Amino acid sequence: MPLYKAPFDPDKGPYIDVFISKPLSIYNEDEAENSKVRLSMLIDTGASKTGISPAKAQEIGLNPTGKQKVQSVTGQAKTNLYCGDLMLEQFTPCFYIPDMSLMQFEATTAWRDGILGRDFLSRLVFEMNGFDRTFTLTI
Amino acid sequence: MTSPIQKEIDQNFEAFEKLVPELIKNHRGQFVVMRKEEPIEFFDTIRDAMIFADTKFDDGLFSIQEINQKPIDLGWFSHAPVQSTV
Repeated sequence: MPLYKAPFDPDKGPYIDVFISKPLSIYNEDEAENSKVRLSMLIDTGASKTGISPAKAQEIGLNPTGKQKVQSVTGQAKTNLYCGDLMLEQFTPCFYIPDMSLMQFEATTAWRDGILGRDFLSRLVFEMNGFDRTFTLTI
Repeated sequence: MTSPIQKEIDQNFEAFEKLVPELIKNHRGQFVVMRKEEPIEFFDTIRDAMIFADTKFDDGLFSIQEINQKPIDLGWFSHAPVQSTV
């Protein structure tokens, strides 16, 4: 099975570069391809949904499609949702998730563009090895 | 300043929250296209809802809501912004 293995910093957690574009189901191939932006995303098993920063959503050219309530330790809030295609180019052929619902997520730390939540993790196998500080994604 | 699209989404969401207890009876898990605070059409996938809305509403003033009442869970160590409290 195709596998991607990478190191992680225990102070920051497992990060992976993903590409997100406008959904190909709506836009033509050229427009979707030209909107593709690379994001550094934290794999976050605590989050039920994948989220991206509003700055990255704007860079991709995604408009909000709706809203949803968000429950966190600080209380309940409402946030915008976007729809985009997500690609992992670490795999050949590229691992592709079309029409993914993405929440607007404003990180307080500069070193993250977003989080990959359990909606993403339910599409593959994710393993962390704390001894050798690596993580593995298998599709 | 709030954009027209954001204003439409905010207003539709307020309307959606009032409608959801009724909508969930027959449309749980579906996606509803909303415009001017009214549900327009229901779809099984967000893809179909987006294609419908994008074709029907040239001005982009619509929103799509998944019909469920579950909030997104961000776990214990959340950095989520509080845009507006509920």
